[in-house]
Amino acid sequence: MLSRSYGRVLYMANPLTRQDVDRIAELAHLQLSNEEAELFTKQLGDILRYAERLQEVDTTAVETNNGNNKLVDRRRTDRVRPSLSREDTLKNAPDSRELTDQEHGSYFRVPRVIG
Amino acid sequence: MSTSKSVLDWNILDIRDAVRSGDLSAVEICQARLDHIADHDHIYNAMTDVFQAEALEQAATVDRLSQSEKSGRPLLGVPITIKDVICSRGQKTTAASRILKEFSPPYDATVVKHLKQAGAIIIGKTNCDEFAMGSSTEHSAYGPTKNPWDTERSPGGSSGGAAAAVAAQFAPVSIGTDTGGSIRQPAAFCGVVGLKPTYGRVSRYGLLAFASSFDQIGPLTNSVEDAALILQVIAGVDQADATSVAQPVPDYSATLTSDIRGKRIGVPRTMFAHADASIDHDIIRAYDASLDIFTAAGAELVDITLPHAAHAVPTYYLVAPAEASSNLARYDGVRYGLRAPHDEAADTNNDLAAMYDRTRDSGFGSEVKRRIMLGTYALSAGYYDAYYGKAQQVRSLIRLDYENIFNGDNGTAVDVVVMPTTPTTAFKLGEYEEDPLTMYLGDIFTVSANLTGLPALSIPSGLTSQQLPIGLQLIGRAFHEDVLLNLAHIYEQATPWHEKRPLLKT
Repeated sequence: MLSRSYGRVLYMANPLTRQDVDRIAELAHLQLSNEEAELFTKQLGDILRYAERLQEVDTTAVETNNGNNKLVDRRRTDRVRPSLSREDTLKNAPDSRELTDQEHGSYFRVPRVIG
Repeated sequence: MSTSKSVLDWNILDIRDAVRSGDLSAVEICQARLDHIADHDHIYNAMTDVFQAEALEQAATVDRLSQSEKSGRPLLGVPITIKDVICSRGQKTTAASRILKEFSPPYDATVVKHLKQAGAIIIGKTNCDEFAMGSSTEHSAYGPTKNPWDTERSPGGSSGGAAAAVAAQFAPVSIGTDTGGSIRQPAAFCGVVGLKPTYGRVSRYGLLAFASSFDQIGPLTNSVEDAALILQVIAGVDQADATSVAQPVPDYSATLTSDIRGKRIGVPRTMFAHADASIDHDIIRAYDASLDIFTAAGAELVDITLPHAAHAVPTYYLVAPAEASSNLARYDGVRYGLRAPHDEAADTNNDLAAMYDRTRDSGFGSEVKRRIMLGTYALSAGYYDAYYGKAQQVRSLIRLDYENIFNGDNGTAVDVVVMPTTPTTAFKLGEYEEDPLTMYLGDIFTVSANLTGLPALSIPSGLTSQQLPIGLQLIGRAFHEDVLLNLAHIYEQATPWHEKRPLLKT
């Protein structure tokens, strides 16, 4: 079974508290239920404890990887090209308004921003 | 064209030749696949959508092409399924997520555009783990896909529907995506060929992003020859994807049968002892037998070590979720997808921020939330250096391991590294429901190719006594897919595994 050999690294206390989970959920814009938050405290703690082994790797003077294949910046000519139509853009919106009024155009609608 | 085999066994060249010569129409070929799907997919749940009418219409258009137009289309009449994270215009693309339940893309992904131009028929979308996050296709809003070899088992993931669709002969080709093994692991579990091209080889324009420095699109097929034909069509630079690379695309079919005498195959046996996930005996046996096939064909085995291979899984599971947490910030109930309604009774707050939180909580499934949380934490103030920063440094070391092996001086360089695709064969559905970490450990052999961007291919290399498929993985130098395909084709010609088919239920 897969679980055989990683048990030995799970010796540290959970690096994550319920308060941490609540704080991360807020940062991630997730409104977790109480059960989810409890479960994640345990599961994310397991994963982070497992990941602690990376601290054993000597990375003195090692560059941080910034993606793959040594990408070079590419340039293109700056010219006006057709983009998605207004209709296509708004088609998938859960709430939008189409106005015939040229001045206001069509737009995405969202709930009140400032209380 | 082979007359002895059923039309469902036809590969790309069989189909193309039949449609060109008029022996069978694209419509008839397409109909045969659609009927086959209708007969079986209620068991396997490999498809999230089947474009019955549209596919037949497309096929009829192909049949009406002039003879010269027909000869210019390399995938003439070939039915293809697309993983449900790749956009096709006007066809529901949901990432198997509630949050995109009704999303209808306003454009075709570049790969879809290329496939259509080549004469292929898009017959449907395949099931996957939500936003391609998972190794089992259980984390899908459509429910799990069943493995065609054993319906109690997972087809792997995240491209589990794609692999099952090829294994069950719903289509000769599925297009999948691979961020940490999501093409290769399901290919291994379902006994099909799966190719993850080099990062930058295939445009990702129109792919719903999961982890942008890892994601790659590639084919799942019944043979190496078919994988080569598909890569030929989808490879190349694209103005719409700045990470695609303007590297010449070789003729992949031309070198399939090249002599492999003198090719140097790296055997990282020390890695198996270090692997967190202990390897099944059947898989080691199949691996040893595979090496014999290569040496019999004249290749040389070279013992190699990948000193940082044991760190690939924790590195991957810090960096990829970090990228995911950023990429998935766009699903907020404003421009597309679900917006969770305000429940007056339960909650008085109906401002914009509350709408975001509510929508994301009800729209995302548990695995996606887990990874968004993990990634947000790894990137958060005070933890960034210890988790994300450290992991990106280890990623550099893993890349250096491979650079040393592929480019080593004094004649030590190898052409390809060969290892099992997975430490186990297909696991039971539900086996890891409570224990995501153990499922992550099963990615030990696949994630390195994503961390480094290198091309990797999984091919069928055996069946266990329980009739479960085994996969063999070849990892090559960047943009040397031709070498992988050549070695894999020679292997395939010497073995029966790619011809094995599961007995389907109805």
